[in-house]
Amino acid sequence: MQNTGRNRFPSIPSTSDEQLTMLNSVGLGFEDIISCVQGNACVEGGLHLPDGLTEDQMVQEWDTLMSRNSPAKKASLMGGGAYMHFIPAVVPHLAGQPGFVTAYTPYQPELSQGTLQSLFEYQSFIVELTDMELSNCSMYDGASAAAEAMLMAHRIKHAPRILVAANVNPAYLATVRTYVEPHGIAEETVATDETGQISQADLERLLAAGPCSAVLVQSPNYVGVIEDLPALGKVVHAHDTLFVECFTEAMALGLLAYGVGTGADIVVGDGQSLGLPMSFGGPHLGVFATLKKFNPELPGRIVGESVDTEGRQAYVMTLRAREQDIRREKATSNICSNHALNAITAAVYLGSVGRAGFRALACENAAKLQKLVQALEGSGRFSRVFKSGHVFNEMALASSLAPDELRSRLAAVPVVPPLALPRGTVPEVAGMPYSYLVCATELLKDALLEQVVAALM
Amino acid sequence: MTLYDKSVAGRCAFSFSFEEDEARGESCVPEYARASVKALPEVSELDLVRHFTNLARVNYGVDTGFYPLGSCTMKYNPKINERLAADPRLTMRHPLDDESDNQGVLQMEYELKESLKEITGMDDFTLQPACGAHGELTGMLIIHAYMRDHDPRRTRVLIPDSAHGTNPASASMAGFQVVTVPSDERGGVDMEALDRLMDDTVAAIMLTNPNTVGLFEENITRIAEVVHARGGLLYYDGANLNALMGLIRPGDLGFDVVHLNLHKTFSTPHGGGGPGAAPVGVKQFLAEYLPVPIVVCRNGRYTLDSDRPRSIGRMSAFYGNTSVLARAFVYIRMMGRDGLVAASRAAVINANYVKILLSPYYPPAYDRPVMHETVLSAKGYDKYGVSLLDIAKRLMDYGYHPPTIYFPHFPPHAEEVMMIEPTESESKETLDAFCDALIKISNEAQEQPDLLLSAPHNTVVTRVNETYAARHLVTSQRDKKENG
Repeated sequence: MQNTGRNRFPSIPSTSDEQLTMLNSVGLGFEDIISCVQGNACVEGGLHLPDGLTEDQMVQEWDTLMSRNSPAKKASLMGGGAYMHFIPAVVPHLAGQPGFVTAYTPYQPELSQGTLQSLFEYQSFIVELTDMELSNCSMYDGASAAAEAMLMAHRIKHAPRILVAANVNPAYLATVRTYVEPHGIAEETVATDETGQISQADLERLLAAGPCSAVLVQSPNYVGVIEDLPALGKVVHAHDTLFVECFTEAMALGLLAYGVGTGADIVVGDGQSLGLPMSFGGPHLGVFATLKKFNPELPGRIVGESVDTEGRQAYVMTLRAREQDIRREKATSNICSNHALNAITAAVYLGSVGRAGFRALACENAAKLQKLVQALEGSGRFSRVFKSGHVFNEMALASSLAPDELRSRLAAVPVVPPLALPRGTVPEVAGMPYSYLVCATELLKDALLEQVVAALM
Repeated sequence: MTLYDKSVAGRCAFSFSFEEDEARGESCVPEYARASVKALPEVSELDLVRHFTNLARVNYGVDTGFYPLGSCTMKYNPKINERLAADPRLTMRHPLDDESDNQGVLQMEYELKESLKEITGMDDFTLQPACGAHGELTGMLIIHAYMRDHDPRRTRVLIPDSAHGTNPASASMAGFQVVTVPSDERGGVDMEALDRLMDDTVAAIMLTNPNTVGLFEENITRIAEVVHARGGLLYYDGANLNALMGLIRPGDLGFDVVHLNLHKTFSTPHGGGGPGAAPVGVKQFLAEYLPVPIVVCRNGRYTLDSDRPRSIGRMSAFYGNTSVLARAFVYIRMMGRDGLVAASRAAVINANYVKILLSPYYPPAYDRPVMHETVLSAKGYDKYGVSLLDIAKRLMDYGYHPPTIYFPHFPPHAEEVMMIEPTESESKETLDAFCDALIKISNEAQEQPDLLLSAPHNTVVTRVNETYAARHLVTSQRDKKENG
């Protein structure tokens, strides 16, 4: 590679001469310093990696690589845990400021008021949106947040079983299983009924069979149907079990009720829709909110308001005694770094769309899906799987079109095709052997929606 | 003031062409599930911009100044990484879209995985874990699953007292009991203690190398022999791999499982506490336990393999923090074989230089050359009524972020110590000026201790009362309102 000016590597400022000067001060050669590794298997002849690239070469290589993806689309009919929404320009602009991006965890509050206050505001927004009392300042994603919620419930209740609704996103269910397995907690699945909701009878039966620490319910559930959370909450609490509500689509928070009013003990979900791009699945944002009485068992970091020595308002990480750096193996969780910058992004996003905008967006999503589904049903090639179920912006549709044909018909339309559901995920509709999870957001403008419908006629 | 405090009913920062009737959307949702309009602030776009711009300004970051936070590796985050990672051809990928649409991003992930295999000497990698602690949990779950299949008596994990707190927390979350191994007087694992503790109930030992006092574990080859001979596995916490790139590889030292903090060694930004990324590497005999899916290349086509029946399952909904992985990919490609070695070399020289300049004032915890960071003691200053915390706070007045001071803590070797990690990013002038400041503070401690006790003076807030925060728990605007 070419030398880039005096130094070969722009991120290493010290010249050979300066390094020599420093080594002279130390009184050792570099080889002396690293003699401690001698006697162990050292790398001979260097790493088998290519030579480095200059910045312009890197841009070229990156361009070649990214051109192997299909072009970016204008909207996505695919949801299932990642959602394409409109992101106002101020959001990446403000959240991407170096003061936020290049800071570490705010262990020194005097130098970190920007991160701390922004996270406090994020917590404030989550408290409002989930109608809970206490939010932490983020988990990794919705799935790991759900898994941590089940572990937290187990720490509180100590019962040997947990129940998970069968219509929870399968990747979330798999993550919950990974997390609870080594603790010997038995995970049992609550069946769904013909409406696409979880079966209250099956829930009653499983709860009556023995003590459970928690029940995990997703709403809207994986196939898009809104659950009757208040009714489920009553059933769960009647059996002295914690009720964990979950969402994968944070846009639903604009229209749907969660939290205290619906009987939740913990609300978890994924906040990607709050101003974050899908980014091939990460980094997303794990939302985690609970009741204050459970704060000793909450995983993750919490920012609290305090005062400085002059009596001025100041923010600081609080309830730290739960955390790994203090409690080690007795901590409530091992979580250390979380997704703080994404939480700040969500705070900026929610500030940007504001009170009326967030409601209007949620309504736009719900109405767009209805419009799309009506048009698709009109084509005769699609039919709702759950006729009576209420939905938000995703819905299971049966179709006579096979996935390959559907994809090829949509090839010329700038949308991500809907998610094909594996056979058996939803009940079969006569004459329509294939099923899809179809999502519509505010980005599915009428003109684009018409193109979609025309392609699938 | 929060954004709520600045809210004025009727203001709006949002410009969007709604096409649907809002009432239609409302009517989609049944009564029992519908919420009232939620209390978000109402501000103009400029209100919003000034609010968050001013918050970012009162934050200290690597772009602002020297951030010598030991163990956290606050190296410079090259801006080209940010630019490429923000490419819409990457950020707008749906994770469940057809693989044929995602060949570029899958190839990037595959090539990153191959580079990490070469850098660490491991046989296979998952890119799924979101952060260091998540990587540790993944690695320990892999060991847990392996032992369940091969030797279920092994339910304990050995962890040195110098280890980062996430190690015991992760081992515990993976279902293990934690046994602490003391350090010896040279700062390494106490070999006699290891010999005593390493029995047939031990599944693994978790080691950080160089360890958290900046020292290379000299006995690592012997440790590996002892642990392997008695049926245990070796876990490598890669928090400090940045000292060793191109010099020595954990896979060659005998480690069976490795996690890497891409937000440390591979220059992705910390973001005030994430998102990071922590790929986990394993030796071949553990590869079948890696979480699904794994990116693989078959006949020139990149694909996600989920057909792994012995897999521990999933650690998150998708495949990891792709845009963070992208930054690390760019860093490794641009540094190349020589650049990674040069980075480790510069980091080690910088750390030893700081140690020499400061040793007369703050004696090192161990009198040995260090690797990428140095641990210095402020214990002697208690005779002036000044603590390490006071010294750290006073550094802020000189324009520096303090070193790590809350950790490590394992008396008598590490007590009231600061862990300084300059990284390869800093110049000699920066290090000289920083050491000058700490030397001045050493004099101030003796002559004007009040200056330290009342520090910092030049920050937006002075010392924040942590006890008050915990006692008057206010963690949201709603709490503030309720407290009147």
